[in-house]
Amino acid sequence: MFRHLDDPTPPQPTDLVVDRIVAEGARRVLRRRVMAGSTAAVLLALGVAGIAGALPGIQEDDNPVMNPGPDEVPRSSTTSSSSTTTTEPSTTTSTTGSGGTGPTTPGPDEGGDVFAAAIQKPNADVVQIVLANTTTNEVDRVLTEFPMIDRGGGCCVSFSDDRRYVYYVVEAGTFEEQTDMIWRVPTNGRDPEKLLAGTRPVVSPDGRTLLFLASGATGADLVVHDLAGGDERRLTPVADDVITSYGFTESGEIAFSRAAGGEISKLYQLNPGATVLTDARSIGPPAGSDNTTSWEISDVRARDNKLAVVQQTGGIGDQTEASLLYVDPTTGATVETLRLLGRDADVANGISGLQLSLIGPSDSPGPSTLYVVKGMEWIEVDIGTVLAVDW
Amino acid sequence: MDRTRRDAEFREAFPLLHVRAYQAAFRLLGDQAAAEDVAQETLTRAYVHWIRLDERREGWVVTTAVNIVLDGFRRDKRWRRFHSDTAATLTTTVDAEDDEQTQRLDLQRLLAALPRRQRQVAVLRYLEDRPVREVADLLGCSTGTVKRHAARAAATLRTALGIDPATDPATEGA
Repeated sequence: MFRHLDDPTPPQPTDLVVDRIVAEGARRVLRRRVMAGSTAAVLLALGVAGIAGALPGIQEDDNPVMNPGPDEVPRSSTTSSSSTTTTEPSTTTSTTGSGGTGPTTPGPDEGGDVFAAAIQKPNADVVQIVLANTTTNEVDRVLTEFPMIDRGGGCCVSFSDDRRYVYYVVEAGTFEEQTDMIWRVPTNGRDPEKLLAGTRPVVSPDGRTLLFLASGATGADLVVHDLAGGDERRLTPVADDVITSYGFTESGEIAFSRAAGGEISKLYQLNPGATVLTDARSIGPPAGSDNTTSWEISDVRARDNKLAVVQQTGGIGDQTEASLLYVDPTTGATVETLRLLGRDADVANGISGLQLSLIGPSDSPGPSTLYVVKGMEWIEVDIGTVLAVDW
Repeated sequence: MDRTRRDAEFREAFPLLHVRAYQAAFRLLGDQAAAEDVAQETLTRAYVHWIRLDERREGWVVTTAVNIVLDGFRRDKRWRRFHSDTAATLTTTVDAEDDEQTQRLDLQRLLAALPRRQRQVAVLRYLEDRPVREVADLLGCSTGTVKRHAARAAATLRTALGIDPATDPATEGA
């Protein structure tokens, strides 16, 4: 669909150009070997000193690795709790060892919990909206199902706090003419109901408000929809801004990340009654963020009123690494981190107590598997190919 | 892999990979010289990582070329301002070529805003127009993963297509 932007007469590189590229490539290979040797020596020295564990993951390769091993799984490497009194966000990272543990079999004493998920029906292009739980490690009930289209399917679910409804999106139409609709299905076995045109619904903690994206004049508007009365407000980003993720805080405020004019996305908080996005208050980014970092909010309904943020590295090379940050919305301080080494794993929109759910690792071959992170451990929840999840 | 074998494999694959990298960059930049620079840098990096790329090297080259373009977009504010000014000028004199350049600028901005994995999927699925199965193979993930990211990216990227929201079915009743 963007082929019209191609160069109809692309240049043909001469042999001289190829030779130059090969020579430069060979020079870089040699330089990397030298640097890798130096890094190994430094790590050895630190290891002897007993402080190697305090370092974040250092890998030789800083470019995307397209062929990770099939047994790659998200590994939690670092976590800390650093309370801070400053208004500047900060992160203190310490490690407790060489990496995460698991997978472990979830037991009844591990806080198993019911969650809603969109999964792909085995051997079929069908999306199923299900209730499952980590205690039984099984799907409890299929609430509804619908066809998965080539453009997408099962992108989003939002589970109301009162456990009465699961909101989800049925994707339809072509890329150029998307007709995605937001639906909700009661958990008591009744029929699903079609609600609105839009995508990526997030229901508020009190179940009264739905936040979603709909096409607007300058891009995708964030729409605040009153589920009882039907009133809605469109929060339109200014030109060149893109809303990248959003959710509700426990107190019902709207937290969202916004990328302005191609910059990295930043974190904001907004009064739910606001009518314009420019009223939002900037919260982040945390210390250490720079122009190679982007943010994605995974969920903002943590019970301790912390924002859970996924920070992904980006930029040249795209080293696949994601960090999970818990941000105090009042001070902007980062109070805890969990780093996923080596591969990025999408963080599903869900937190239940100390549980954090991950879908991934999306770099690895095979299905998207759901993992639940509890403290420093992660648990594989084997319910098939998981497309989205909410707790 | 010794260097002789690496060189031989690389040279054999070079023409195809170069055109993939070049066109991916050109779609965003619309400038032959700049796209050629990006393609050459991309291929140099491909040489460095050659051992790891295996059959997914085509996808790697395309996404790396786009990343290089977007990295320049993010870092060089003067360059971005220049393009903003250009875009503003273009809005006053609309013809097909100007429309394309505006679309390129929109694409850069929107792709830059996407989370990393969404961007990879969007580049291969929408910019390259590859089927879901092929994108999954190139990225080494499931078709479900591709569709999940594609659905999210599509909502953001559609604005680059200049779809009039007044006639966009997705906005009806919203």
